[in-house]
Amino acid sequence: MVRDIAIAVLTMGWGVITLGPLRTRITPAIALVAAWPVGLLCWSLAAAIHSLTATGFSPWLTPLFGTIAAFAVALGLARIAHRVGSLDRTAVEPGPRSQATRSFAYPLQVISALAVSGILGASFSAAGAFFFTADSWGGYASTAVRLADTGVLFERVMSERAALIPSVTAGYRAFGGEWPYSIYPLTAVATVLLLALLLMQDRNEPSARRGLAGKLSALAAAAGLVAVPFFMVNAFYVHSHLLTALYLLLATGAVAFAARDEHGALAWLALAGVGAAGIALARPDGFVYALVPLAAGSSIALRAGAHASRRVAALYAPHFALVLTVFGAAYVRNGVWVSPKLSGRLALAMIGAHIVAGTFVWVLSRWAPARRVAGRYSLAVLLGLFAAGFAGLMLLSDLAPQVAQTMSGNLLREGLWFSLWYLVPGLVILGSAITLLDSDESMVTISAWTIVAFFSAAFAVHGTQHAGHLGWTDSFNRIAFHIVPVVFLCMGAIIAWAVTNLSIPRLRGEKSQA
Amino acid sequence: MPVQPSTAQKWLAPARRIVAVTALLYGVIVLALCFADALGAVSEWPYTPLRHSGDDFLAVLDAEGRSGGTDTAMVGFAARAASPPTGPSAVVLPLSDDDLHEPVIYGERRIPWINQRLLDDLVAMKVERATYETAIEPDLVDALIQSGELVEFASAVLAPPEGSIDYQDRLAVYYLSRDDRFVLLPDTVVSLYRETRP
Repeated sequence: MVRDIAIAVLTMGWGVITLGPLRTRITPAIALVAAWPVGLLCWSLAAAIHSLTATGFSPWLTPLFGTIAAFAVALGLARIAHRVGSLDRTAVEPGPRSQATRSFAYPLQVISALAVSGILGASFSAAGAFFFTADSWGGYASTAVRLADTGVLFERVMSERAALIPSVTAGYRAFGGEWPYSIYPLTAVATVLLLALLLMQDRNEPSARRGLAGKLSALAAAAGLVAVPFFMVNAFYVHSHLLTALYLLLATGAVAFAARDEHGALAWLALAGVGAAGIALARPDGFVYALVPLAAGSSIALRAGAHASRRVAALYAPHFALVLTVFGAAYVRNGVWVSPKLSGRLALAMIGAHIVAGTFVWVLSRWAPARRVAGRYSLAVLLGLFAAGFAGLMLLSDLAPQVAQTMSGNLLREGLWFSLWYLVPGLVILGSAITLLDSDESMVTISAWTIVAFFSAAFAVHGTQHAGHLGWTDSFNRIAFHIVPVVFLCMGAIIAWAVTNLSIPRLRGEKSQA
Repeated sequence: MPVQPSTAQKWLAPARRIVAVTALLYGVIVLALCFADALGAVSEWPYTPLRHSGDDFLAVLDAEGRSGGTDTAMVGFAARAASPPTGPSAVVLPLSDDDLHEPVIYGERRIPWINQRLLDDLVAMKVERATYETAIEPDLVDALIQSGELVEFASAVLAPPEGSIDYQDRLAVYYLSRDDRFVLLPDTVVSLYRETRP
């Protein structure tokens, strides 16, 4: 129990430190909830320092390395926050919320968040009911044992499990435990809270109707997500799925805010970059899924006119810094490792692809005509490319039709999703309609786009690998979970838009009085 | 003089209302079905959360064939990993250091932790397919799942070689199915394995 408290408090503490420079821009509430996934990332960075210094995990060194990593990332983000300050020095007077953060309110919130995470960590550790599969103990447990003892991000951890979960687990082992059960339900709590906060903040404006829309949509989305049986399974499933889903939600929400919050755009894009790094470090195939929020963020950044290149840098800099630190440490220790999964060469190719993509977007951002066209049409063009890629795979690959059949069989019948995936196409269609009617509805647009883009990426990964099988344990079926919180983000944003746009007599009265 | 709305604006307002009403109704439907699913799942969910217990092992053998293990954490993980709601659960089988070399190709997939000898053992266990590629025929596995006579088969090395820090030797998992699923073997095969294992 003490170990679970330690892990929870350290994780939250590191997250709070890391996001400190951004907190006024991304709001203190979102910063506190996002501190959980960002703090988890710091375990990977601590592992990277262990790896570089050839020291095993220990109850003293690991917290020290994690704290150093948290401050280092915070310094980097502070640089971005400084640019935010220079951008909006004349723009917005500090509101009541930001005044409150200057007083004791924020420290009290931080202390409360640390206390709550510690209490929840202790409570969940006693739950004793978790889902395990071969990956859980054969992959994460075994790699964590070796990582804790040697401190080296060895080839198998990088190629088969990615650094994040083995690092947290190794940290837990350093405190004398076996498996940090509590991080999974804690991540589930963070996911629900973040979903609700993103939707509330999206409508956090003086208008009563928009305020009501935000609260209603947050409640509906959070309740809907919790009601999904697979979400509850993943809340207790020792695997990477819930963490990946949380990072994807974080990055997607941040990109949506970057589209509408002119003065906080750099901070939101930096947060999106951190979220994308989380995806890349949570799973060996995370590089592919990380491209989804990076693509969306790039499109949003390119719309910023003369500030576009700054925003592109804000998106990609944290992403590259985090990913390159962890993978760089692994390359230093292992060279270019050989593996049937994410080999050293393949990882280099993926990192190279990210760098090429980032550089390409940055070059576009420097060239006004291209920037204008790309900013306006890139999401649509990417959707067209995804559709073409899907059609190409279906026509040219023998495996892809079989994968599609297995995939649809799982999502609609065998994967224990019940009715969820029958409903998602309707949400995407409604999201598209709202996008056409209201181009400012970035939360609807980005979340609906992300759903389609994610499945395109997932199909590109699985449609060329193996056919899969019917049943909930199928790899593609479990990966589909990564997008579920974003599905409810989309649903909540759609409900919020509908409530805002419908005439409600009492609110109409308020409006006419105003 | 008041500004007359354009034709597009005239169409936009009702379209917006129609989409808003549809969206709200659809949101209510989604939520209602989510809750209905949740209620249904309570009674239908086939997997109960697994608890930390090693009681339901069929066999836990170390590399020399002795029962028991040196790493209780691994044993616990194995037990929880392979505890379907019905029937016996995990079989943690031995591997010696030699078993972990010479990785073989299963179908198109390289399996790092299984070698020829293990596959020979599996074939010897009367999994009635002659070639390694079909040693565990997916259709056969599916049929056996349907018949309900399966247990999950996991494999682990519980005792690391003396002085070794290669934990890949300490714990190994076989992925014999087409993807990330455990190998599933009928109960009788597991018993046979236990009997024939030298």
